[in-house]
Formats: sequence, structure tokens, C-alpha cells
Amino acid sequence: MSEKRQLILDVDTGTDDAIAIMAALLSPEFEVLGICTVSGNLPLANTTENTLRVVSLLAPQVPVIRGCAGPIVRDLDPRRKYCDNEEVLEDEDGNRIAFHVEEFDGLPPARIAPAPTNAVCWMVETLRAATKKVDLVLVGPLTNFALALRADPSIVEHVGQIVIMGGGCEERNSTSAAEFNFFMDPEAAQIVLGCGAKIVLVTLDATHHAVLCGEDVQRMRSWRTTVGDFVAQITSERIKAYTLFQPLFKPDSASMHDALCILYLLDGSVITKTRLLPVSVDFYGGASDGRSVMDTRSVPARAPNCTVCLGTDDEKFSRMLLDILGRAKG
Amino acid sequence: MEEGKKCPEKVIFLINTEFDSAAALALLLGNPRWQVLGIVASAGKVSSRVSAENLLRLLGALKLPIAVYPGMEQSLCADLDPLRKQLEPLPRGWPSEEALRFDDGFLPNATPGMQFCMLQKKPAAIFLVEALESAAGQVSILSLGPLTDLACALKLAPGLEKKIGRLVILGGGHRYSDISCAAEANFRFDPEAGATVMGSPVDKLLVPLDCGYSCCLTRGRLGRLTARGGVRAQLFEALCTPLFPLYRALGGMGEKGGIPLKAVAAACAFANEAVLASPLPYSVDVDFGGGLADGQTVFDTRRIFEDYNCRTAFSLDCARMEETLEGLLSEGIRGQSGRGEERA
Repeated sequence: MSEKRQLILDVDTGTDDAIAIMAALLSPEFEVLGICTVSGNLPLANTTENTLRVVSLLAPQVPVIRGCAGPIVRDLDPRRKYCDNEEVLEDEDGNRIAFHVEEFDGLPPARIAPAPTNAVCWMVETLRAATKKVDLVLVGPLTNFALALRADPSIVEHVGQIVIMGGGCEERNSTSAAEFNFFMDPEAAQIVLGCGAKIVLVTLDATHHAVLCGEDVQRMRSWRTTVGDFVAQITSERIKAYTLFQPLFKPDSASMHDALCILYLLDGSVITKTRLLPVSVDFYGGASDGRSVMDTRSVPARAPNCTVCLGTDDEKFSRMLLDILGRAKG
Repeated sequence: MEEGKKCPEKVIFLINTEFDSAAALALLLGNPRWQVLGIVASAGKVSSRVSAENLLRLLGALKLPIAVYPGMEQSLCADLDPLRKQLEPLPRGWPSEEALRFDDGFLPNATPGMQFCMLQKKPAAIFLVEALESAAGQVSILSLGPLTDLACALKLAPGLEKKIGRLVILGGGHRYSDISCAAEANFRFDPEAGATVMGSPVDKLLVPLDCGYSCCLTRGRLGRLTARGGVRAQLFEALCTPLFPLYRALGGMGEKGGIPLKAVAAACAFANEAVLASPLPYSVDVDFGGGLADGQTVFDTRRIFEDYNCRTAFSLDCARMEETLEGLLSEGIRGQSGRGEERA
């Protein structure tokens, strides 16, 4: 039997983060060393509580570690807070529609508490003590790992690869220029992309084809499990939100960005198109703040630093994800 | 501890160790008023590696086994833009890192080699978080270098500021600058860290360049202060002496050919806030726009909005400064536990 791959997850749970966490915890190929939380989709208190509920349900022995409550420096400049993509609106009946629910009422309350330390300290100590390379899956703003790299740059020697949900080549969501995770902390993204580790960048171009649709919701409901009901509920909400705000290539569907990172580690063929590119992040606070700048010229100015994922086998994605989520009992 | 005696104040020092800051630290270390939890060797005018080496030599000369934590070599994010530091050349005469390194034999009473055993592997930001979180009660901090490590610690552990009782910062300038036309070196090295710390709700006392230039130390006065001898006075004299040619080369001598007491002023203010002449609450922002004013401390002297974030002054009370300096120099050196022989 091949050795389990050791993972550290960094999340801003977040509905799609919750599904990614579930996929990781339900996959015997992984040993999840810990899950760090960060503010992003929701404030830190919510992302931490939501993560605790998911982990408590499926793997209460995995530590959840609270991370940074805000970006490294972005909030020092009040002009940089503007995000022109309103993510919470109401439908015609006045019901709130959002990509991310603040509290996971569909899951039992958490039976575990966060670890008595903070994510950056924990990451540094865990990586320093690692006896083999650890893979990182970063699916929120990159604040935690960026600060860990600043505090101790040598930790990169203990990292196998970093799979990041972030950036976009032709796709954006937060502003006309930027994807959400990079927009929330552009300096952190630039620090991580420049750290020298092997980086796989799972961009919006790929994740906008990593979708679940109404049929998948029905199938999950038919399992009559806690996981199935919960994922069906949040997917249904996400489908409403996407249909209103950001219709995708497939009608009645929603992107499950973060889960694609986990599935990529299980079977890289779920990604159908990649390019090795030099990628940096604009952090100058202007109209391109947070933009992932990919040098696609035939003679780029710098050496490539990322394997950029640009396409997804959408049928394989939904099949793989439902197979994994269907393993949960009760 | 004898009944009626105050418990020593728990302190952490952050220092980018070169002559000026080391002279300042030599005034405070081994003083029973303070229990030093650790010292962060930050990067700034010298790298954190050289800062740590210099600091270990100082500790060796004082025979004090205090843990030293290596600070971040890079700023929080200012170095992400390589052009930021290139807008203006360094001032003529600005000393190189090599010129600020302490050689073997430079310090009197030196221990051969350095006290390497006191250099910790734990990164400074992690030490700061753990030391502050685990301390019973609050801890005071004196910063004699860029604020990178403290800013990092505040970012990664929300709520940490509640454990800092007071923070004395050497840095910034109102009418004075040094490393650029607009900025003082500690804030210029890491403007975002400066802005992060200045924006935190910690009780802050800022000691800007203006204070150092208001009370300069002449060679004559240095001689008189250190005439009584003793390890502390000898070290202070040894560390101040190279500053005379350095400031002369910079064209930065003060009145009567004296040297500005920048870090020493901050150390004295840490011991006795009254050395600052009439400190007032101010709102002080730090420019981190990356232009020519990068790292400039902007003092809102209008004082109309009352969104003050620190207390500061633009000059020293020279008489109180003398008195405090004399008092600190005359204090014997005691080990951390308070036991052991008192050495003068």
C-alpha cells in the first residue's frame, strides 16, 4: 500500500471550502495533518466555527487551527477595500441569497475546539518537524502561509507542492481584474508565488468548469446522509447565487472551486489543460489590485513559477466528487 | 523577592544591533528593574544575522545569558517591489553593514567568540507570540529597530496587543530624516510594519529623530559620564566612540560637535518617560505608498481630530536626560535571576 500523502489545508470555510475539506477527510489517500482557518469568504470566527463543524463530523482528531483575521497589509489603505462584486442579495421573495452561508446550521454543532495556538506558528512548527515533504492546499486568501514564510523562509524546504485555488487567466470574480483569494490579500499571494516551492495554481478558468448541478443535488439528497443533505443544501444555495450573479457554462449549476484542488491531488487528469507560466500578483492598489499577471508571451521576462490549471473535465469532476462524498455514512 | 519590593517589569527588546542601539541596550541590560524575556535581533541597517552576532558579543561582554531570537531578514512586504528602495540613493557617508559589525576584541570585557548557545532557532515572530501569550500579565517592549517582527506577530495572533503593556519605539522624525529625504531608517526599512504597529491600540511612546538631535553628546561629556568606570560605562564609551567619525562622515553632527543620542534617548525614555520634554498625544501615520516619501512618519500637528495613536515629543528634557543616563550608567549588572555578584 502506498504511503499516505500528508496535507495541510488552509481554508476560509465557506461552502466550497467545506466540500473540499470533506473530500480530503473522506479520501484514504491523504493524512490531513491539520486545517488552518483564515478570514476571507467570511470573518475568521465564522470560518473557524464552520470548519470545526465539518471536522467534528468526519474526523474530530484532526486539529483545526485559527489563523489571521485580516490581510497582511491590504487593509492599511482604506481605498483598497472596494470590491465591486456584491455577493449577497435577495430574490424576488426577499430571501437572502449568497454564495456562502455564515453558519452551517445543516451540520451538528462542533464537539471540538480550535487548537490552542495560531495557524502561522503551527505551520512553522509542523513543517520544521516534518520527516517527509508535506503538501499544502491553500483555498483561501494566502495570509497564513505568507506570514509563515516571512517568519521562517526555510519551511519551504519541507513542502512538496502547494496547490492553490486562486487567480485567473481570462476569468475574474471579485473585480474586473481579480479573483477573490488573490484580491483579499495580494501581497500574501505574491509572497507565496515567489517562495520557490512547486506551485500548482488552480485558477477560475479551471474551477468555473468544476461544477455540481441540480441533478447532483437530487442524487445527494437520495443518500439520506448528513453529508449528503448538507452538501445538497449548500449546493442548492450556490446554484441560486450563480444563476443570479454569474451564470456558468452549464445552466442550473454552481462552481465548487476548492474541491478541484483536492481532486487534482487524487487524479491529475481531472485537469484538462495546464501551462507552465511566470505568474505574479499586482499589489499596487490600483484597478488591477490582486490581479494574477501571467506572462503568456512566447519569450517571457522571467522563469515560470507555476503550473497553471486552465481547464477541467467537468463530468469527471462531478463523478469523482460525488463518489467521495458518498462514502460518508450516517 | 523581598516584601515591599516591586516585581521586575517583564520586557522584550527588539534591536537592530549596531553602535547606537547597542549603546542604548548596554544601559538597560542587567538592571534588576527589568526581567528580560528575550531579545529579538531584527534586520535593518544590518541584516538580522549580523544584528544577532553583534548582540551576542554585547551579551558576552555583559556576561548575561539572555536568549536571542533571529528576526525576519525581509520586510513584511516592502521588498516585493525591488524598485521601492532604488528611488533615492543612500546618503553620502551612510555606513555599510561591514562598518557596523563588531569585531572580536572591539568590546571591552568580551568573551572570546560569541555566546552562540544563546542564539535560538525559533523565529522572532513566533517567540513574540508565545512569550506574550504565556506571560502572566502584560509585557513591555522597547523597539530599537524596524518593527517587522512585531508587526508580523500582531498580524498572526489577533488580540496579542492586549498583552503589551507599553511600547517605546525609536523611529520616525518630524523635522528630521536620515536614510532618505523623507524618512528615518527604522520606518523606511519596513513602512507597512510601521503602519501596522502605529495602527494598533497598544500604548505607544514614539521617540523620533527630533529628540535625539535636541540633546547631543560631545566627547567631553561622554568622558565625564563614563569616568567612574565599571563594565557598563566602559561598554557605553566603546560603543559611542565610533559614532563620532560615522556622524562626521554623514554630515550629521549635532550642536558643539556632539552626536545625536537617538537610540540612547529611546532607552532613557523607556527607563524614565520624563526625559521627553512635554510629550503629547499625536496621530502619526506612516507613508507606505512606495514613492519618495516612503516610510515617512506623518505627524498630524493640527491635533484637531483626537484620533491619537501615540504619545511623542520633539525634544528631550536635557537635564532629566543627563540624570537618567547617569543613573543607568551607575547601575551594576546583575544576572536575570537577581542572584550572583553585582558587577559594576
